[in-house]
Amino acid sequence: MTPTEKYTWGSLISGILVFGWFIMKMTDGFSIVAYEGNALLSIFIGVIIATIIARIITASAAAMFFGYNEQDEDYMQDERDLAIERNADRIGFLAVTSLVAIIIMLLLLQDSSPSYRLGIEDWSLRIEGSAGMFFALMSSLFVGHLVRDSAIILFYRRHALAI
Amino acid sequence: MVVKKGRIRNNIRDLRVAADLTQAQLGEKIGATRQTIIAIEQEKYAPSLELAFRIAICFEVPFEAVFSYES
Repeated sequence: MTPTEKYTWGSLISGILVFGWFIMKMTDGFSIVAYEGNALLSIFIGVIIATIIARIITASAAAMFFGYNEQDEDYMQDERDLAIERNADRIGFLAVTSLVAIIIMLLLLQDSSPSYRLGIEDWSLRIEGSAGMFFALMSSLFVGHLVRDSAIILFYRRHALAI
Repeated sequence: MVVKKGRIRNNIRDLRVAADLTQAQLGEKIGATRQTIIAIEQEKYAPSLELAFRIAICFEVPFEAVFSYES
């Protein structure tokens, strides 16, 4: 296993943990908590700090779990590593843009039909106000990141590239 | 015009064994990781033209002695 793969495992796990924390913080059941400006800024800064801390912890844990190799110190990414990252970046980007497109569609549907509830009775997870937009866009970024990391691991595990 | 995708074959494994090199040693010589050598040998990754030439130069054989194209 290359150091890039070990790092990606750490990144994926830390992403899941921070995303989980973010969802717990932002939602109450199926509703988005209507935080105001300063509270949202605090959560945003909290996400950044939590990500840094989680990355450090999971990177150390991944190194311990997968074993430390002396060659890791001199490891340089080669063209296959870069090609895998490039493909995974593209897939992650597609995930983010798809989700943003869905958010735009939801906003348009909500505006055009105020009673729109995704066809579900009492559905309250609507994109409303700053908190709703913040939650939707941050979630898109998290999902894009998780998809990217998952794609990297998948490409390494398959020993192949979907080119 | 539709061109059917071919397959790049190689005999790096035979050349490497003949040269008494491990995958890690070959990787070090040509600037690639052991994992990349494994993927190339299994023909699951087609190296760039530059890396392909480096491999041929490393074994001191012509390019076409290492790689071939199967359409």
